[in-house]
Amino acid sequence: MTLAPTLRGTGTESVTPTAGASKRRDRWLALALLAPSLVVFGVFVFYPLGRTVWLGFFLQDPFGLRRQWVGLEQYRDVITSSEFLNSLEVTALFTVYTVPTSLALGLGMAVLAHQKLRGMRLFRTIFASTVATSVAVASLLWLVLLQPSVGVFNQLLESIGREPLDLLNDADTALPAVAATTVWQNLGAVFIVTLAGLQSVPDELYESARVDGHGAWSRFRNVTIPMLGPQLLFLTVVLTINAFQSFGQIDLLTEGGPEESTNVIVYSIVETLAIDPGAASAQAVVLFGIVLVLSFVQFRWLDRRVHYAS
Amino acid sequence: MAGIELERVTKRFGDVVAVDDVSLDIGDGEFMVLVGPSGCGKSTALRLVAGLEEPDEGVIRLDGEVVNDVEAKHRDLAMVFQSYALYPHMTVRRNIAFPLKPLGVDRSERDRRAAAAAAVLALEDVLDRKPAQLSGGQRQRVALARAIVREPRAFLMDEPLSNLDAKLRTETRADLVALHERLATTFVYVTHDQVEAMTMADRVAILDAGRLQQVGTPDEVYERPANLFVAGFIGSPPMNVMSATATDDGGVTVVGAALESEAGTGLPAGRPVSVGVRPEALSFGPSGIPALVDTIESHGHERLVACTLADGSAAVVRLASRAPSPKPGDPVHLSARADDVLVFDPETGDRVR
Repeated sequence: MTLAPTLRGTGTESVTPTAGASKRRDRWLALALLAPSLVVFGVFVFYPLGRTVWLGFFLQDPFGLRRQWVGLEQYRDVITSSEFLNSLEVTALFTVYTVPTSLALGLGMAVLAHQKLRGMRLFRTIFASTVATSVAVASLLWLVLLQPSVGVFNQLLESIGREPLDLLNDADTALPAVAATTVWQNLGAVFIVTLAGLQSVPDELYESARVDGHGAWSRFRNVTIPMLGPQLLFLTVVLTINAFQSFGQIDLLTEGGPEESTNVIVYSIVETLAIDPGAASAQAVVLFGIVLVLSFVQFRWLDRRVHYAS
Repeated sequence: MAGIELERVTKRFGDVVAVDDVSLDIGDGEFMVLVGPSGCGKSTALRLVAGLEEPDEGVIRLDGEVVNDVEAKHRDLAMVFQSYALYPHMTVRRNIAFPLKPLGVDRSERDRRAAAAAAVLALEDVLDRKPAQLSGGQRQRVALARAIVREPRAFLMDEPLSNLDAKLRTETRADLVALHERLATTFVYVTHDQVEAMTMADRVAILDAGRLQQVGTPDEVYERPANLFVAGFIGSPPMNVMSATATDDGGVTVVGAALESEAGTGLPAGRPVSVGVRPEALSFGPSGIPALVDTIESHGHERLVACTLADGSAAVVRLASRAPSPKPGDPVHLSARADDVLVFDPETGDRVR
């Protein structure tokens, strides 16, 4: 009874001003610590982003000498143009081809390499190696493999008596062929992330499931997949963003062709940039919006199904 | 219910022999405890029965059927792991019901049986929680509920109480014994804690360095240990072991003092032997083995008097708390009744009487 008023009295009289001064000091310190990052992000991310949005409101010549304000009309034109819609469709197909396939194959390889067998370390190194390959190197490698006359792929076909195929120059096969090279390149990263996830799953969970009568497929579906939830969510989001931003392999393997069949959004933006920087900026902003919404939806929808270790 | 039989089973990991030529019969409905120090092979023996390891030699039978080549998932056993092995992404209800899935039991029946198993272990209020939201004791009970939901042929338990605090461990020991009586199913229980072994088991199997040392009821292994290892491992404090010499009248002498031996050692006079006497079987008297009191530990209900014999070896005497006790530094004489004196061969360690 006697203690409470004393505590209340000292609290209101002396702690509040000190706490206020301390808060102000903390705010300045926080700003000072954040400043370098804010400057870097401001110069290299926020300013270019804002500038791109702004440029999207203008019609421009290729050299940026003449400019005409057209406002949101340009964004509307971009969204409704058949070229952009084709690029969007191609990009969506490219994403559908590459993301689930990369995840399934990379996870499958990780499950295989997780077995405790002699020499597995060598396989782990081989499986992970594509992560150290640049888009340029991977694309040139596949260009040689898929080359119509001397490529290994067609030599294999010939050896079994089949007609050679020009996969990269056929409108029906070019996108799947480029997607295959991208899957190959994604495998290393998917493999490393999922293998690391697998190694953190306690063996007892599998042993308990075995004793309780669960076969290999049931253990994979009920234990492995849920336990790898955080890794699979991360990879789904990152691979989707990468697929929407693909450019290097398209540029080196097909240049958007044949017949626009591999003209993904970023390649289309780069092509448009040479003719109409304003329209290219508008396309870039629309791409940014699509990726932002897609990532948000993936996080909202998938995150609820993911278990995070506490 | 299932009888479990291990016949001359050996399991090696590289150069290490984890289980060495072990033969053990576990009866239908029996509560068998495998006990021994860390690395003695008790968990490996359990995993061999579960089918999680394959024996290098020997035969394992369940209900008389050889199961060496039968996969774990087809053995119809349930196992409780030291870590409980609960699936962190599943609710308690789904964890408990998980073993019913491979049996093709439909969802509503799975839920009903999971709720029934949860009721046995007083888990009704936490069915919709995830394991991370439970206390250690609750997790342990979820693991038990998951084991009983399927009504398996036998339960295998690998140190299931070792992650609990001392009070909860004592309570759960009693719960497990009650559960065994209720289910009337074979339990094979692995522990390094001899108190768990002695208080819960119908029979105890003691292992050391992969070899089976003795199988018997808790009273048998306590009163008549087969060798010096069992004598030292079972009992706290362990049996006093003193160097002695056989006498021509069938008795022994320790530091020159005679100790009677009920049936005689049957050994030639002058043969060096080891003598084992439980701390509660030693008493202070006017005559006997001369010793000096070192320390006295009071445990409330008893006192442990540590003494040093003339040859430098140690012996502990257990006294009731109200019994008259010497003081540290007092010279005393230790004696024991003839039928409490066990004689071991110091070379092989085996009990000779």
